[in-house]
Amino acid sequence: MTVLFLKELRSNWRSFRYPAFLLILLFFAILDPLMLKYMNEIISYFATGMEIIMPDPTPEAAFLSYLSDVSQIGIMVLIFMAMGMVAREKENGVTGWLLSKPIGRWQYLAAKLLALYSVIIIGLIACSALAYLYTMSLLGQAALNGSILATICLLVFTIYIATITFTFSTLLKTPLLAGGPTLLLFFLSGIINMLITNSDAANFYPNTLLSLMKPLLESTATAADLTWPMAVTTILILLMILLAGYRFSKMEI
Amino acid sequence: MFEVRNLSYKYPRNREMTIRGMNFDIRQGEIFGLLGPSGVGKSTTQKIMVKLLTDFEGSIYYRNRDLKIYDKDYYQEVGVGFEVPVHFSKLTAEENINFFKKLYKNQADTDTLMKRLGIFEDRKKKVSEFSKGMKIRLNFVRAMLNNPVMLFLDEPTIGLDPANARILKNLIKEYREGGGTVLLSTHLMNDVDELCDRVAFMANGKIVETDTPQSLKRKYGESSVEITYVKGDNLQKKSFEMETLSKNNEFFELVRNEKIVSMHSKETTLDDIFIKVTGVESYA
Repeated sequence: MTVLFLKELRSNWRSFRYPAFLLILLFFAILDPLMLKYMNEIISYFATGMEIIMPDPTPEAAFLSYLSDVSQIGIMVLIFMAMGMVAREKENGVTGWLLSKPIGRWQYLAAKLLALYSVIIIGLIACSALAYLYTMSLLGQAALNGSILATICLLVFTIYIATITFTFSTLLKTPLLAGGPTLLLFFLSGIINMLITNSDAANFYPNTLLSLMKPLLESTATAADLTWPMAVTTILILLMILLAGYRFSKMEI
Repeated sequence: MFEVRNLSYKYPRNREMTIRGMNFDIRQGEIFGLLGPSGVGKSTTQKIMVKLLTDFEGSIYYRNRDLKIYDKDYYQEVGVGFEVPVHFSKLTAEENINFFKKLYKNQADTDTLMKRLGIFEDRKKKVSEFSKGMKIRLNFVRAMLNNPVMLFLDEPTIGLDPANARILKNLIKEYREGGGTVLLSTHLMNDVDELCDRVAFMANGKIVETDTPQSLKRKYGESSVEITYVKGDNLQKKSFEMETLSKNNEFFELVRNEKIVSMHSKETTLDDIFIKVTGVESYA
């Protein structure tokens, strides 16, 4: 298991998949607080002769901007990064070769999933901490509790999308076949979220985790509001892992 | 080593069976050749025997135990070299070896193997920088990582130059001499002739002939003598059966009266048998 896990980390690092995702997180962690701090100056530079008055940026708005960008662009990069994690290896014969070694099928999947989750967790925590500290140095301190809870929301949602990508990658034949439905589901779930946002159903919907980031940062929502969407998302993650593992264990490689 | 009885297999998306009731044994310490045209089911049979395809009919016994009973420990004993060498191209050759060597209780001296196959000097290079031949040689080293007692090889020399193919064939022979057993799938009848103790020819998902190469040559043998001679301004050819040569007056007349350009004996090759038995031209 350790051997596979280390192989997965090294192989994906050298193929620039993991660095690409981490660089995107880093990019937004540095750029968003800076952009918000100097937004007035940037606008006045480009719109000479016009007077545009923007409200003073708040630390919460800067941190939320980082979280929002990661929840869109960051997650799309993640989908592209992860869509081939199993499908590509099935397609080029690596899976067959690996499974002709003393490696169980569940072990094979677990190593991949653990490596992916590790990169997401470490990357998101590190970059969020950086974005928080950088925001603090430029604009003042955002609410710490709210920032931590909002980051956890993003983290769980990102893991949820990563698990969907992983499941499609396990069930389907090629990376493109895996990436397509994941992206479609990602956009579709965003649209559904807009439609149900004010209904009770929103409490049981994973995208609510993203909708709660703003109220958590502004202290208009509390940890208790996370209970249901967090529980539902976690259950969905576990179910998808079980589905992928069960199908893979029966798969003719 | 292996007893395969009434083995049948159909890929989930296929309508027709790929394997239709195969029966064969592989004895300990032999190189058993599985031969047949492309798509006949050789690789599928190997995949079943290495437990990658599990939904088969019939029975396979490995060391007198049902193959289905074995768990992943089965792979501690077997080595597999697939036809298309798959490597982690972003890892070095050494990493490709050492990462997976750790999975085994019994570990081979891979440095010596790499030296013999001429890739030791390049072990620090990423596999993406390797030539096709180097990848094939590395594939063989990886099949031997655990000093297996049973080795599955699918077209091991295809894509290798004659010198490296010779080294690899010598390694396979040494492996057998050390007590190892090999299931070899190939199109190359020269390799079969040189390496295999017994061969099985496949056609239409079945085994249609099993024997030693020598016995098959005897069975299907039609040794003859071919004479090329000058007739008028043209070269003519004529064949005579070897067995009845001493009583063949036409042969003696021809030798006495015509100008002979060449005279060759012709023996049945495995290529001839391949074509005869499977009905398809081989690629050798």
